[in-house]
Amino acid sequence: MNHCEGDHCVTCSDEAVRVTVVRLLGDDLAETDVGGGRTEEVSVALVDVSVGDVILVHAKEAIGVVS
Amino acid sequence: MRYVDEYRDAGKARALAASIASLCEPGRSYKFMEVCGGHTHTIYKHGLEDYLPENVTLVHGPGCPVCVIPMGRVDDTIHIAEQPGVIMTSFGDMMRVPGGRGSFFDSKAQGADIRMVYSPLDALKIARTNPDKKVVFMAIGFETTAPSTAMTMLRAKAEGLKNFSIFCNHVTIIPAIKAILDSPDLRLDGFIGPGHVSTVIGCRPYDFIARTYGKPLVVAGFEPLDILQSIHMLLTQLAEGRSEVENQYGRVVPWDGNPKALKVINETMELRPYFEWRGLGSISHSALRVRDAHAEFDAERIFEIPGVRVADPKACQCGEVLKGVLKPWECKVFGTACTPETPIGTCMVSSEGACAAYYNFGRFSRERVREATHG
Repeated sequence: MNHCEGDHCVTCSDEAVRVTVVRLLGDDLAETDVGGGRTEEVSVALVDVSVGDVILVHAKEAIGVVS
Repeated sequence: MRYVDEYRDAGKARALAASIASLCEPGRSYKFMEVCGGHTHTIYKHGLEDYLPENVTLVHGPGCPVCVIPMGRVDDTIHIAEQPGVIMTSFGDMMRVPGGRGSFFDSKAQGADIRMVYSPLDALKIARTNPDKKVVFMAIGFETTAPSTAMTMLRAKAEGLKNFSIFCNHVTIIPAIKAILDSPDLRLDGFIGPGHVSTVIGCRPYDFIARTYGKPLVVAGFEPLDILQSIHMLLTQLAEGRSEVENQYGRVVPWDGNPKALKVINETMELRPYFEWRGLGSISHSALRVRDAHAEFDAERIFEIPGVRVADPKACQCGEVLKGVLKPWECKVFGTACTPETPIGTCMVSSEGACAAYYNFGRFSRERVREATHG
């Protein structure tokens, strides 16, 4: 049984997931484009982001912005 | 794909490989440790070892969080899950990690309510919709996932949730690197530093590796060219007689890390006096626990935890693999008794574990080399 999607592991792997911010939702949450036409809600409490930014997400918490 | 294709260009990889070969002194061998399991995964998936000269060896480090969890903590989690009215939540990879009494899957089969989640936020949702249950999140990971756990505790506090807690197993990377540097088993020439841990902690905490131990460290990204370039940077430092901390992954890692993330970790968690790591033993100040101010979310204070130390199975050599002393295929049970389907050791569970990564991607190329060598 494998719980991995693509190249990364859903676990706390050091390889975070890159996603694009589609919409800021308030309460420090954002809707993000995770590829394949799918979106996911993640927390952006710890980064300063705008729509269109590519962010690194770990366990649904954005920890960095890709420049 | 942006940020991906340009870091997988085969022509550039070959050019870097040639440049790497030219930096190596004839007759000298080089041993670099990639600390992070994500790097191990990339190295095997893309066959990067085939690009390197024979005298450059990559050693896999302890940076796979699933791999370093000792069996006793798995048993403790199962013990909590078996208490009346408890819903235990965990990342998917933890589900198959064998403890002394079996895995989470085994416990689930026997009736415990253990659910896989993608984040602590998902566990929080379960707590909101099950107010009559005690929902526990089994938190693991390095500084990359600790911010997510910290923010979840702060959100739970803001909402006034009373049925949610954290079984905290977060570990910190610096003491593990120091334990490896102090280990007499291994002689290393430098480190490929963890990319996303550094997004949070920055590059400064590695200074002692360069200053005190005289070893270069290059914080690296996760694409094949990132890793080859980092090896090139390490060899350049050695050729020039330098030992410094350098950042190859500047497009993501700020030199000072993410101060907001560090602040929420520090607000909610503190260092434990000691914590047991699989393979590395007990390391002082190497793991986090919930602070007194957030005791209401600390599963270790809500539930009675057995805390029994469980010895690893004798056949399992994860400890040596985690310290980089053994390559995965040198373990006696690798690929025979221990496979990703029926793991004996943790390194065979997560896709970031050296054994699983090698089993999935590396063993065929090694077989080809063996066939070519022995006809």
